[in-house]
Amino acid sequence: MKKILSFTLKVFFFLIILLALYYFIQPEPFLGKISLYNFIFPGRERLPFGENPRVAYNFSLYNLNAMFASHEISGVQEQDNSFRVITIGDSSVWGTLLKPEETLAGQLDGKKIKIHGAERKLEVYNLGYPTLSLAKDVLILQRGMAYKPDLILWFTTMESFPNEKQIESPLLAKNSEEFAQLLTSYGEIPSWMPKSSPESFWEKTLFSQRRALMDLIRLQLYGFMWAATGIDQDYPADYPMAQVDFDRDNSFHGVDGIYPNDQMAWELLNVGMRIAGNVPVILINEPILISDGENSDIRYNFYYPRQAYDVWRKDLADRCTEEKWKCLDLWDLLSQSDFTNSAIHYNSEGGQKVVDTILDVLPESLQ
Amino acid sequence: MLLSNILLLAGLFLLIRGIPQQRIRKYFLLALSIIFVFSLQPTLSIRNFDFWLPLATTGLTLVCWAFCCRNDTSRLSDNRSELLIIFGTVLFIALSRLFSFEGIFTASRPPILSVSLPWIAGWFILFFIFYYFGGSKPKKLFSLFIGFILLILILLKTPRLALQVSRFFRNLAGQSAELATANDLRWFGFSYIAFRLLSVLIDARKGRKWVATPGDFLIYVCFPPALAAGPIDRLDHFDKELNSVPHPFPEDFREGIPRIATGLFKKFILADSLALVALSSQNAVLIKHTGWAWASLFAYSLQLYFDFSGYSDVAIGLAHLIGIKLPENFNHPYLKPDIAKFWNSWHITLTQWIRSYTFNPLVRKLRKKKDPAFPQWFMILITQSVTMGLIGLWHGVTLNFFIWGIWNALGLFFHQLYADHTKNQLTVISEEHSIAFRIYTIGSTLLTFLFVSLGWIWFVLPNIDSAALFFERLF
Repeated sequence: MKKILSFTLKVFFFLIILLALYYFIQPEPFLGKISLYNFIFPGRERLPFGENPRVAYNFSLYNLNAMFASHEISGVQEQDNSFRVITIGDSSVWGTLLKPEETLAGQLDGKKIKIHGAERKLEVYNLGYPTLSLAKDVLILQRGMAYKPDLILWFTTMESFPNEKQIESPLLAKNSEEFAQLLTSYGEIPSWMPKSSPESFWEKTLFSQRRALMDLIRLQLYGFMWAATGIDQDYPADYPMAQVDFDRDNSFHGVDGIYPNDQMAWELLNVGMRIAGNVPVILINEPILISDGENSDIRYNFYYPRQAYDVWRKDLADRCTEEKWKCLDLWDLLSQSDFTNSAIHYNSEGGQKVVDTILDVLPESLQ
Repeated sequence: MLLSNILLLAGLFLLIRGIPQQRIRKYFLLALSIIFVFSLQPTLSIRNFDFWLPLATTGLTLVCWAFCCRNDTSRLSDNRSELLIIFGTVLFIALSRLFSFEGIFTASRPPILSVSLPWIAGWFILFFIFYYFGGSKPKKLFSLFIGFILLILILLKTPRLALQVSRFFRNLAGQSAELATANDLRWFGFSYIAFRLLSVLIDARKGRKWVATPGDFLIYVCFPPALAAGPIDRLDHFDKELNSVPHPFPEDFREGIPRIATGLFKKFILADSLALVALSSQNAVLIKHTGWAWASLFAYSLQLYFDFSGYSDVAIGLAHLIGIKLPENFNHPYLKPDIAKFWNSWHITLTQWIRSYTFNPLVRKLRKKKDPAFPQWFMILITQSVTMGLIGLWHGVTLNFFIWGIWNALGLFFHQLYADHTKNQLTVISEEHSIAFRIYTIGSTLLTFLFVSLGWIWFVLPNIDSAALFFERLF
């Protein structure tokens, strides 16, 4: 019995030391940087995201270090003739229902354009992430700047602007401290930003972080299947198409008519532009589905009533002029048939039209 | 079994082990075995089947005992307490419908008492009929009982038949037969339960005597740690372990806990991680590159081993906690230099079972034939094909499982021919050129692993087309 007691005590003691070390070191963010991607497995062409890992060989985790370490952008060397572009935005940029090569980044990559008279090959990286939030865009943009882009294509839409949308996504919630520091460094603390509270004792324990740690391992394991299959999302054979018939509802986020400007996070556009610094940014109002179905005289689509969207679009254009931002308004570029399961998700052909338009204006924008 | 089940079982075993009187300890173990038969049964889409199937397990086991026992040596009056515990536990589970115990004893709420009680009574009446009117039974009756259990196995393991049975029961339960699937009849642990019952019945048919109380017999058949994945112990060995004075507790604890920890590590860390990348019916068609296809195949080989041997480690470790030593089920099979040694180290108890009840009788039968006697090679081919084919079909009555069995049978057959031809040379090499022999052993171990791994393609993929496609991807 004494031996059992001694054995149990030793195990208990070892466990306590391990837990204490973990608590004080907090290694999870650092561990995220350790990755088999870009060494054993090819880097992912888009950031990890997915709700059905067994089928998608991909899943959502919130360790930004791990997310970027798994991305191909972390593994590339700078080439002389290349022109490095990053695309920022929501699920339409990430490419829901699209294969990596069908996304905007996938279709733009490798294209050649003339900049200042010299032919440059576009090296385009998809840093889109399926959450509609400017705050998330800004957070990812700041990380993306570490990879020294020559150009930023920032796709956005009105649904990313409401204050209430900014920090509701798990990615922001799990990285709220980094986001708060980012805003503080640019002197912008919006009213909607909740006061950050330090992590509790419990949140710092190994037990509380076990899921996040397991996610780091799972991300590496799914790298195997990504390498083997090239699949990184669930492609259902059938899915419901975007809604085209609506109720007679003129409201946007519960507000009837024009959505108040003070309830939108316009200031984050300024933060994003300041993060970009001297790197040119093209701010693109992304295409939306313009329905011709029931009550389409009131609503463009599931997201937007016509009145609120038109006002927002004009405001965006005005700001672009005022701030001398390079903006591209593609809101009505695509037809209804170009959209898939949502009013902002377009198919490969739709993506091709967007890419063609961007390529048309790119040389001029970069002068 | 889930991790929570394993930890709960370990805790309960430790508590039961603390009871000083062996008789009382066995009573608790008996009740626990019955409770776990019910609680481990997963939810099924046919109404109340998560109650009926465990009830059938308990009933079938008791009836089998009554059928096989010799009522001149096994008096019911001596076993009254055990029968009361069995009856009481089953009744308690049925009555749990009246309390808020959903999800604890059965996956869903047990059926209404006016339905469940007559069935419970029915099983016990059947038990008493077999017991009192048994006596010495003709061999044909044993064969009938054996045939009945085999029939259940075949119905459960043949997807088409399972679908028909599911339709039948769905109609009976007033549910839509359209929604029936072969998975509706996932009878937890029945593959192992059936083999334990069959071994007892076959032995009893041969007139082999055994003395086990109904409680001991039920614990043997339904011993919770060994329900999910074996090992398949022999009744005489298990009964001896159950009734002998257990080893000192510290000794069992020292052996059991590391074994459980090893098993949990193998199953929940290694196997579950490998499962994400291992070959499966889903990813077999998606893998684009040859190199990754090989990697996924090897990952599957390792996953299967860690999963299965991990469960066996947990079962053996848990059994240690209650003072029972279960037989070993794996002995580093992938490190064996030939296919025969591999099969002597992989799922050892199943292989031994098949050898005892199929291979040996078949060999004896074939050897009896004289004028002309079968050639040796023919006998090896037939016996290996039958036994390995049966092992394949035990996993499921599908063509792919059968081919997997035959694949291994051919491996064993050719290895036997090769071993017969090279025996003398290999002995010389092993004695005179130890380095060359070591290299030869490493080479043959790798070759065996490769052969076994390629065989798993038939095992894991659902049909010949997908297996053939995957072979194409590999070469």
